[in-house]
Amino acid sequence: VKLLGILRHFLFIGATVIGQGKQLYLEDMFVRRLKWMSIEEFTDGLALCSIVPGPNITNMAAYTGWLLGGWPGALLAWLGMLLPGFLIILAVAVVARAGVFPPVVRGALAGVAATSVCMMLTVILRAAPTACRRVRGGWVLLVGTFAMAGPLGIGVLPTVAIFGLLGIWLNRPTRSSR
Amino acid sequence: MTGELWSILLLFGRLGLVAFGSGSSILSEMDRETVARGWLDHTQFVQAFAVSQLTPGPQVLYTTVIGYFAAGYPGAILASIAFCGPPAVLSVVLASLWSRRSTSPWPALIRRALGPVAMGLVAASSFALAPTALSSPWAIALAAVGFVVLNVRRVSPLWVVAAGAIVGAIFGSGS
Repeated sequence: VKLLGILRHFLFIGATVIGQGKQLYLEDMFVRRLKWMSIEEFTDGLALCSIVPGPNITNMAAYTGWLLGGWPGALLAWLGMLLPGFLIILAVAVVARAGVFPPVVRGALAGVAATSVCMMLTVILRAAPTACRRVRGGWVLLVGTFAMAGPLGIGVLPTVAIFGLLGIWLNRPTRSSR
Repeated sequence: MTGELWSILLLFGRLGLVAFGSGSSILSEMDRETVARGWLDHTQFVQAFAVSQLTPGPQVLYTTVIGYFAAGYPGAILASIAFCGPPAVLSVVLASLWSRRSTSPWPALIRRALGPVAMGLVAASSFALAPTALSSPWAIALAAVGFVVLNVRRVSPLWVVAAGAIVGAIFGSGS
């Protein structure tokens, strides 16, 4: 993929990725439509983003751009992902500095939020079996992470530290596998 | 660079590097710090966050609005880059370290072991979102239909989001 192609694709993705279930949209684009990576590479990218701070989708963009075109690819993909939303939200900030949303916009906002939940569940349905099959105790790690960061409300950082280390320990190289 | 811009660079740079999971984990700290600096009031902060939910791109683009309120266009650019830039550099550095050919089994092992953890975090995000997002019958129905359509018909998620916005504008505008 040429560098300008990376920029063009990511400008499109950056302009069209909306709502909370962005991982599904990225999986749909990167793995299924553009065939830039395998589902394993996608899961690797998500894993990477889970231990790196900052917004997942700009991190995923930089990771994907780097896979496709090294550091220049990473920069262009990151820029493409950020720029459309940046320009739109800046325009909103300029025009309606302290504006209150009309009911129809609030309704649309609520509709987008509802679809986010089904998109998150779909990406789990698609990627979790692969992610869990590859490691010992995969499902325990998934459910434990969910319980701790979700219902128990413990922060993301301690959750990733505990279950990340547990996963690594469960899957450490044994004497026979070395 | 003015003092205000330095202040934006340092605050957003710092918060970007501690925002694990998603931008929403540092929301309360961002609210407190930016309101205390007099860049905007709490109502404006909540509105900025709400707008960022409906605009494309990363959910953390409320940082752009705050930067603009604090120091105009340069503030908007600086806040966005300071928040989203350093973590992206970190991602690529880590990815390049991971992909180095080595005889050690550890890089691949760590990557694989973190896969289920990443999936668990997605599940936790949906759990955090569900009480607000699915608070009315039409929203629950919308999510259920969306789930079926995504998995049976395999349509692009974009269409589901668009349908969600339209259905929400019709049924949710009274709430």
